[in-house]
Amino acid sequence: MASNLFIFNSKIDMKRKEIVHYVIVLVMFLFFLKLVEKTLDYFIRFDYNKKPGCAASGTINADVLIQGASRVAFGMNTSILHKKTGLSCYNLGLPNSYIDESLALLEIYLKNNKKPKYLFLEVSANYFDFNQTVFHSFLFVPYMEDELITSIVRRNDFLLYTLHYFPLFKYSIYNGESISQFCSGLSRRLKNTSAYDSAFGYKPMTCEWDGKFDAFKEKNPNGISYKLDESKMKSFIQYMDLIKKYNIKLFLYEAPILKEALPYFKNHDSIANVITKIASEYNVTYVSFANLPMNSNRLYFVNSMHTCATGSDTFTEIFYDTYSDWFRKLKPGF
Amino acid sequence: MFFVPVYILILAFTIVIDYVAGILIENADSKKKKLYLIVSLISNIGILAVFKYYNFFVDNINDVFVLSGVNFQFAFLKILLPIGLSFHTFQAMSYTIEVYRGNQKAERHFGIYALYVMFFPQLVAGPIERPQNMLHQFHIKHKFDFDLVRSGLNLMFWGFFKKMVIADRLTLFVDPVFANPVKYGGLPILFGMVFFAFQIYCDFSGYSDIAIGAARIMGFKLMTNFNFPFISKNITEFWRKWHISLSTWFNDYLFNPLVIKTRNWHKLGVCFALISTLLISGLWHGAGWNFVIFGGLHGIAMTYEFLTKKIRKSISKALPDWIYGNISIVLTFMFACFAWIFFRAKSLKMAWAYIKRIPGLSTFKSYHSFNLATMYDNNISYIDLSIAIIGIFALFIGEYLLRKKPYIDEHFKVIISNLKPVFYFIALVFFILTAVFNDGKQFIYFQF
Repeated sequence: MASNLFIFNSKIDMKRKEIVHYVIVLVMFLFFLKLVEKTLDYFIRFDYNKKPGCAASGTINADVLIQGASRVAFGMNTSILHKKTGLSCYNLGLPNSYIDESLALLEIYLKNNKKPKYLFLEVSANYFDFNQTVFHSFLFVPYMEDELITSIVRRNDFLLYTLHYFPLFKYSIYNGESISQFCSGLSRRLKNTSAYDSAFGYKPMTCEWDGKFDAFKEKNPNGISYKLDESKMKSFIQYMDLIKKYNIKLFLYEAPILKEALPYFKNHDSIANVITKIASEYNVTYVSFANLPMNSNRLYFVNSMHTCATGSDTFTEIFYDTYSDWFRKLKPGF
Repeated sequence: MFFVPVYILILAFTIVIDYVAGILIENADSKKKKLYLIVSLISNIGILAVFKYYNFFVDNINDVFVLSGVNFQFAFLKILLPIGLSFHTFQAMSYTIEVYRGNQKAERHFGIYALYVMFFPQLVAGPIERPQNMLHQFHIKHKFDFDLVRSGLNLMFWGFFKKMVIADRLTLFVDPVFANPVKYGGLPILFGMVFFAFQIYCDFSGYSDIAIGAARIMGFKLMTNFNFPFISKNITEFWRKWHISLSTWFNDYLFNPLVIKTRNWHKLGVCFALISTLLISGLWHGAGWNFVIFGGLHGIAMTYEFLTKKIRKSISKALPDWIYGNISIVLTFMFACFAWIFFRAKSLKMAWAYIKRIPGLSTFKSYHSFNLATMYDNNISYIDLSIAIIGIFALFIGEYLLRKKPYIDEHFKVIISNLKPVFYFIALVFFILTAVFNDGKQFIYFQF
């Protein structure tokens, strides 16, 4: 009887030991997974080929920041602006993005740099278009400890949002991009290179007319109407509120559009009116450069929506002239 | 290939027919036995014929009508192919045939028979089980066995690795080239051909591992479906190692009976049986001439091997083992890759377009440098290529180790058992960072 009891007790002891063993292994597993996740977070932030990495570097600290999508990234020569104003300027444009990504990017920027004195946001009709659905979630994976970014990711990529609660799994769905960013970040970290490139974030499009507009015309002889996305408009309001919170002087503008393309964007004016209305509610100026004389010349453009390098330089000069009084306020006598 | 809820009735129909047929066959005299078997087989094959092959045959007959000037066209059926139809139909057929042959007692418990046909791990893509292996397992009470759970999970993990890390990554290199071969030059065409071999192996054997692992967790033993066919020295050996449950099915229920029927034809009978079996096996995979040719090519290869057995044996004796063996493996692999072009291409026309682009057969578009951006235009990165190649290496190592010792745990007794958690940790991290989670494809064999 006593020996049976001993065997029974020793069996329970064995089971308990086994369970404790598995619990310890599991906890260690989770700990090490988190460690790998943090390592990836750390190095990906050094990937200055991507704008979030530049923004997170904390070395930009620009007086003048310009945000928007590709029409900014390829269309605003910040080095010209820097030369003309004497102010530090940075192009934070993110190609093929919409307002949600600009909002997330601005959050990263503001958390890591001194706030800019002026912020220019390029707002085109397609920026709020319902059919614009490409959200580059992988760019924001390392920054998901931030509440605002997590909420933006949640509404754009619910799977990533869910997975970010499990250690390392936030890197699972975009692992190809993440590994590439990690390699780039690691290399940058080891070489200790700066995030502040000589082009101030501007990436000129040196190619010639790409013919996309001609194809578009053929496909849509009667033009198209953009459909305003409610969710994106809410993000826009959120963006304006964030600017207000940080007390930054904001300017809204619309980049040049090829003149012959304008009739094909049927509700261009009505969308511009919506933006003007929101801008006036926040006491923000909105300037449209959709009707510049340069817009009649295809030589300044790669396609209907994007200026080529020469076009971007010309536009930047016009942009400077338009806001020169404001720039002089920051640096009198320049 | 599609799950339509009402299609569950097809499954229910075959289950009822075969369940009743099994009991009737067992109780009937030899004349009626055959009749019941034929009724059961016609019901099963009839369903396959309607859902899988009707439109293919109608399409061909209509073409013949057009060519011969007959002004009549049969209408096509607007139906979808039910998911896993070919698999569960074959499994059901093996039951009635085995009862007819007296190798298996008819199952009296309807629920157990239904479970035999619908056992979820292998319902949609096999392995195609035999009643002798499965039915008795449903009568045994299965107790929780930690070792089986662990080893089942290990196998499932290996299956997911093959599917999500290797197969789905290789898809990036295979899909665009097969979709439009005319657009691509030499290297992508070669990559597409070779990578598809690994893709389909990892895809299908990965599914089999997941199915076998899931069944093992519950205490069930399913038959082995793959035995790393890439190191086969001839096509006959290849088919002994590839989709074993299907090839043994054809061997038992088609090839052997045909050989017996044509035994008076001597060698010609075997050749006839080989070609017929492989042609039908090709057609089993899909209703299209490209699948017929895929099967036909393998049939011709096996016939060649059958007829040249003696000559090849004498050559093998004249050469050192390692030379003959390795050359055989490479040639077999190349042949399999070539035949898979017909399997993977959407149609015969596309297969031919692909073959014409193979370097040597047509223009070889050379590249001045190895640049993925100029080779592909769908954002394939060097990271994708690296993962694919590392994955293939891992596949060879993994399959080699599993062939030596089928349970992953056993390898740690050889090395250091304390390293086990480290191995699992590294494997998990590697899996998370390399598997395709975002744009994964469904299993290729689900379409059959």
